[in-house]
Amino acid sequence: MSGTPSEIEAQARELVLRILGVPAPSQGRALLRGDVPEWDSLKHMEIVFALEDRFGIQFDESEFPTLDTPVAIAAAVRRHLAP
Amino acid sequence: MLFGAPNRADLAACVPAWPLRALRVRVHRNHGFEAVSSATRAYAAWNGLDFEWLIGGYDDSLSFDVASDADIEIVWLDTTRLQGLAEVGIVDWLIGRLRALRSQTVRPILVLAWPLSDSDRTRLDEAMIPDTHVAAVSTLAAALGERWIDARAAALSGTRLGNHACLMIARELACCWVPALTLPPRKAIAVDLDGTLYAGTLGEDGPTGVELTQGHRALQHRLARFRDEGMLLALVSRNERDDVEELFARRDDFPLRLSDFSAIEVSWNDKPAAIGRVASALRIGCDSIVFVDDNPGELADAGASLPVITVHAGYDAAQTASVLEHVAGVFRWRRSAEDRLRADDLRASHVRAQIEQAASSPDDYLRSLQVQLDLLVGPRQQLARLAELSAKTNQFNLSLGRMSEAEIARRLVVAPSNVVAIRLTDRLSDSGIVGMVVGSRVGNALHIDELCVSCRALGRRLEDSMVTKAVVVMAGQLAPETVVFAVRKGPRNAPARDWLVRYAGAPVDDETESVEVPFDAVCARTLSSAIRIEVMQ
Repeated sequence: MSGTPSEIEAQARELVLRILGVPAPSQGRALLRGDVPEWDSLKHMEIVFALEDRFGIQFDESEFPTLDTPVAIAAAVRRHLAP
Repeated sequence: MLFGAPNRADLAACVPAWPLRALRVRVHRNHGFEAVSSATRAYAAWNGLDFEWLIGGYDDSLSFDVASDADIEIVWLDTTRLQGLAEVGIVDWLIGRLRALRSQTVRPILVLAWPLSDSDRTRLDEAMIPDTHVAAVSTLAAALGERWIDARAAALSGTRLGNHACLMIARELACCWVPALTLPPRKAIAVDLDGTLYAGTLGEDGPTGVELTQGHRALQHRLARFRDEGMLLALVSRNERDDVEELFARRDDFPLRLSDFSAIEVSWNDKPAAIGRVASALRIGCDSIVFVDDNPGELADAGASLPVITVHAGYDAAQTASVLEHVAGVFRWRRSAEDRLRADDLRASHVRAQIEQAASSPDDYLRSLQVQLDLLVGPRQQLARLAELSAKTNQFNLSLGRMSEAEIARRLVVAPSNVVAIRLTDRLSDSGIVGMVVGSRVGNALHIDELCVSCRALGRRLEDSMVTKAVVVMAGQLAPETVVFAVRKGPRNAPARDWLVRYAGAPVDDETESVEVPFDAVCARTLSSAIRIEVMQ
């Protein structure tokens, strides 16, 4: 699965919100792990595994803590999808 | 989505819009379980369940905290973390810990331990700890191969098992292992023909024109195995009966034969009515039936008017087989001898009906059948079958106590004569264990806490003899003054309650919780001389 950077970011954002079970942040506010109490370590595990399944990739262990916003996730996904 | 390749992103999109039954599941563990529990939601919801997880802290010693109530106990072990026990032997240690847990709860225990060799798993099973079941996790590991372990995973999930390993375990847990411990089993699978057991339409393509694809062959093979394991098969099809008979006669390549079906409903009438007739013929409730059809409209009609479980036969028939295996209540931890006897016994019931019509009297009927009842007192070897009877029997189940294997085992420990199993044979078939009476002595009264007789044994006028003899055996040398039958109204146990009215000569209304019968009155009942009864201590 691939897409434009903005499409990947939108998919990642939608998946993160669905797993967290929270509404999207209000207009103009970014979705940041540090701002969402529900985004704890267990939800982070679910998010990382779901992203791997959605995009058919495997993150490196060192990337796990950096996947803390849809923007960062999209950048990491693009790196793994790059030919 | 649920039964293809495991995909956690897809699972996240599944949100049930139907009511769910809550189950409290406690987990005793020594490695991360959350990667499994978080993935069970969609699978459990598909089967109408909602798990409430009570997950304890990491504990290699398995000290077991069961302070709060739970419906089921799971032991989740990474045995490589127990290498310090190598000298004692991990299996011996685990048997000891499971016995300790068993002594603290009567709830079912499910052991998910990995790695665990087949021989170690067998040893755990052979320890015969009541209502304790060891899942074949290694089979899943073998199916997934090298992706079973993911060295990266522990940093996120606290377990070495990879994401897809956890997803596979979650699916089996939610669809097979836990439902088999907590829900009544399904008893029959009713299948459509066209587009379900083969590709094509019998009426248009003819018996030799319909195609048995590789997937349909796999589905038919799986259905044949279900039948061998004791699941009843039924055919529900809109076709001409002659065409269907010709189809099975000419298609030697079909793994299923027409004789594999215990009920056949082929007509142009509506399918819900046909399924209702199947349920009557098989003497089971519609909620015990799984209905498989390729037509979503037929499934919707059946699902709207009957409490059947419906499964859509999709384009990939092999996946239909996989879906069937994951319907709650289809997987069983054990298949009893009675399961395998069921289809033959049902066939014999049709012959019995003919004999009854020709018989000059009830005793003549019983004598011609050469009926024998064996009363097994304190039947430790039959615990699984007795628990199954308690869980499955709906019509002749007086108190609907739904006793678990562990609870029946506990009653046996108090006094072996507290439990009597009843085995039935006649010249036409061996019906196996068909009845159970569980009692307890309270002062001068003998309380009958659980009394159930399988529907397979009903209609032969045997209930009075079964119960009278069982009560007398239970009473032993010290005759009680009264026998107190526990009774509770359920949606389908009118036959049992009506029997009690007749047997006790006392009214039983919706609120009645017990009925007393003087023990002398029980003893005074005449046992039919046409029935041979043997008591086995």
